[in-house]
Amino acid sequence: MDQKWKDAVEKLIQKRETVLAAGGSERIAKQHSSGKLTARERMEALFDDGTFVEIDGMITSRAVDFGMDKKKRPGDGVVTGYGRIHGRVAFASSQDFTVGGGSLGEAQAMRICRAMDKAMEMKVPFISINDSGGARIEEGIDGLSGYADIFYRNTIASGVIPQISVILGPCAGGACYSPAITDYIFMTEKNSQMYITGPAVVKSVTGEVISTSDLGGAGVHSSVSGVSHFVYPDDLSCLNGVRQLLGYLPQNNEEMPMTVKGHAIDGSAALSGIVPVDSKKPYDVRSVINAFVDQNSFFEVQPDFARNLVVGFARLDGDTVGIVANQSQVMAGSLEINASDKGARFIRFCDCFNIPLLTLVDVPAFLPGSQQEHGGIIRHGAKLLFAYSEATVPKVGLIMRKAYGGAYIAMNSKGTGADVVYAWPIAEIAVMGASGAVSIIGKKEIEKADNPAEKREELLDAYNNKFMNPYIAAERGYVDEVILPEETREKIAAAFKMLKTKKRSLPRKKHGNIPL
Amino acid sequence: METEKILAMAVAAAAEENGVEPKRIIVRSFREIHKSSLEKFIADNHITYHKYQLEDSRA
Repeated sequence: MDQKWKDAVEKLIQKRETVLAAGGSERIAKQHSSGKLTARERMEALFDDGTFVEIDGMITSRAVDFGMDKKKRPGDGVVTGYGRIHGRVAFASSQDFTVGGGSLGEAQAMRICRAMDKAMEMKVPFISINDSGGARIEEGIDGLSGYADIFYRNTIASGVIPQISVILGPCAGGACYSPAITDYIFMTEKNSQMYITGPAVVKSVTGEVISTSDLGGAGVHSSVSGVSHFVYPDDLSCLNGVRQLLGYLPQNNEEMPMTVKGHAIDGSAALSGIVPVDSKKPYDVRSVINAFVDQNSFFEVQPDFARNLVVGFARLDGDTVGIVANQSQVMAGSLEINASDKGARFIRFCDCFNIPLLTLVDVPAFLPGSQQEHGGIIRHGAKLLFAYSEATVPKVGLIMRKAYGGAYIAMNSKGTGADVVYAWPIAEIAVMGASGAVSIIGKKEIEKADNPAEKREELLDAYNNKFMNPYIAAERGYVDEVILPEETREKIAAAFKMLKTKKRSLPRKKHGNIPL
Repeated sequence: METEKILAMAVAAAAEENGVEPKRIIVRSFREIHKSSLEKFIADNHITYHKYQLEDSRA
């Protein structure tokens, strides 16, 4: 090798080392001591071993104002590239807090956008790892414009490729809106924060004193605001969670999810022991799900938010299904504002990405009360109806116990486009529960009776015998078949197999107008 | 572990895999691959970690 070659190689090696050195050993040590991994370590944890390839590593900021020309680092505070997850290609960006606090300027935004564009061209998932102080103030409007470029791409990619945001540090101000547009948000217990305005601004504007974690920590966003979908103790477990989620999803909206052969143990026989006949007695619907899906395959989404509705992914004979189920342990499984939002968004995600839907029904009503009415339950509840009606993926339902009134209609009823609806023999499909119904339709008879209590009981018996069963619905065709609990897995799996070739298209339109 | 021992083990493994005698294998060059920064972090902090891995049975 002649000297010119040697010099050129040496120069490249030095440049590569500068890229990999990121913010320097001191800042990396600080990142580690706060329990966080570096941007590149996160990429290594996210992708299959040895598959991550960095792109655009030498992109550098053009900014010169406020001494920025002396602070330039190659990569500009973000690592971008591609690799494989479960053997399938994905693109990702990972903000580097050790370089300028991961702040976003023109060059960083350009790097992220280029990776997003590649993900869209390749039709593969995009994962955005956030750990940034926000917009780089020294770069002025260019940083803000960079956010707009990212939001625009997030929006255009929505429903085309799965987009996942992983918040492993601060994510403040406008930066929050990129994760909010994406499909799923992951956070860690101690180090993640998301807020539009931080505690200092909140205090100066409203006088409210609140800590960072109480304002926008993982606990708040996973259980109160519903912004976050998954929370993990630390970076490593969080990124493993991303890998787990991607295992249920296809690469894009034109493909099917991967098939993962697992243990197909049918525990349907246990179902009659899990669900009490008395419709007032609660049970954990997750035990029902786990009894008949492939072993250990149920992956719950938003487990701590709107707990009256359980949603998540599972596998049946190795194939992904999305599950929506009323949770009788919380608010008796009734639907309210948050559950409607949670369910509708999940259903729409599944419909975007060809994931069949299974609905497990045990619902007494939409939750009554002024708080719900004034909060807009009409508008929010309508989202659930809209989402089910609009979804063209295979839709199978099982009415386990109660299915009353408008809530019954909203939970994947035949009229809203369900393909197959099963019911257990203890199912009660009616306009409302017996007590409420008798109070209305038997009011005059009870008032006139010599013994009102006795008359009421008599009318309750008559109502129960007439309506509180699945057979009238089956006679009218609202239920396809009344099945035994032990037949649950077999029947549901068979229905999804039959529906694999389902093709239902909607009238041509720009997009529907879901009541947001 | 000493480099010579590691090399000897690698030669033995290659010999077994190819069904030849170890002495017939010539090592022309070798490169030491260092632990990655993540691997070091996991080892230094005594973290139990297994990467979640799936396989598409259709592939």
